[in-house]
Amino acid sequence: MYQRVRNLLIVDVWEPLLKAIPKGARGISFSQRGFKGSTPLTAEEAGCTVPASKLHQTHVSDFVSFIQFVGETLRVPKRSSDGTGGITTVHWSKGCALAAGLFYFAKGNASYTQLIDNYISSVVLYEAPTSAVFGLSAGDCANNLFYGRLNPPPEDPNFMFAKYVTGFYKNTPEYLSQKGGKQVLEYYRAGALEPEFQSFSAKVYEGEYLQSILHWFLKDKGEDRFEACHEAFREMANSSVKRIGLLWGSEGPPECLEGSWIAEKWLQDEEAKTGEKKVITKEFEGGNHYIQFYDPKGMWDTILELSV
Amino acid sequence: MLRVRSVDGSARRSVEKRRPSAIKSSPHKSLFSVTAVLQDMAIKDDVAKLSNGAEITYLDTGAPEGVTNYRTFLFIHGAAHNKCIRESETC
Repeated sequence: MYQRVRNLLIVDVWEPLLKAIPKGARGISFSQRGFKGSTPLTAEEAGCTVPASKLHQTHVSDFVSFIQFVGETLRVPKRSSDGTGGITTVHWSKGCALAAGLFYFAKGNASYTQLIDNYISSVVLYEAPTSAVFGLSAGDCANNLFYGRLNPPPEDPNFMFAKYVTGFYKNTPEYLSQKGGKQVLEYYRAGALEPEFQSFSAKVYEGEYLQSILHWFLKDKGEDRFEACHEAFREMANSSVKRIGLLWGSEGPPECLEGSWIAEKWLQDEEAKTGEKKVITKEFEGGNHYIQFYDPKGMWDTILELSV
Repeated sequence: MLRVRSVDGSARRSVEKRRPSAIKSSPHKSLFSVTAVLQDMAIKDDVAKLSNGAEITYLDTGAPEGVTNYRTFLFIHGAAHNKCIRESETC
């Protein structure tokens, strides 16, 4: 039964996972600034007239402050002396940008670093997309179908997003030449259009501020974002976290497959320098962009496998 | 029936006929059967007043009973699908 603190019922995308939490563990999900219930975006933020990097810093400030709250007010245990235990952060899709931002902005910020050192043992990046996290262009097709049509009010945003996220994206020539496989051209394979998901999605979807929800990056200029993200991953790899897990679904959007591949390359480059093995990758067989909806137990098994 | 077109425009197919095969054959229970089994799970719904001045809503399963040095999993949502607040229990 829910405890209605404010006499309201909250529906959360993580709810299926929280309800299936393993014994002896604690699960917490939060709603970022701009989503209903949390501090709303300012008119400038909602209108995307603030610099993208400034909004990213704001989100990271919220994230750091929330971890501080979780530690000091909710009193979750810190990491053990060997770096294990404590908090595992699980970032999904655009939420992976919050992990990148945490480590990017922690550089030169002792309080951020201290918080990481005290609490975060593992970071799981689940379905990280190349456009929203790595700052790459999603390509003409996706731009025309999705990003180019975000001006409010979006045209059927839920269905538009479903089309985009489930495959209206072409992998880069570099990816195809190194990884092989065929170009993906169809968008209805990744679960977003399944009737069961559409029903649940109708309860949890937020499209009102979709444009601004995507308008935060490490750098303001598009051409600077990819390298900034690379720097963030270098910082992540060389931080005190013990484990970095990369998770994607075998039936997920190709953009997230490629994002996970880029992250793996970057992190393994750092591992080669330090000799410390931190990265574990997992392709979830049959999984799509919404593994927590379709297979909460399997998702938990995977999260435990990817963290310490 | 919802119909979609492939990017190259070559074919129209029904969504129902193109369910991901791996999902269809998944040995795990569906979302809905899982939530039905675990519907009595207590999840706290609250608002955090943060040191930077922000107010952030969160869900919390709470500390496990009888365990002091437990692990915590903190979930960060994506851009387009996250929780909303509904003003009735029929949400």
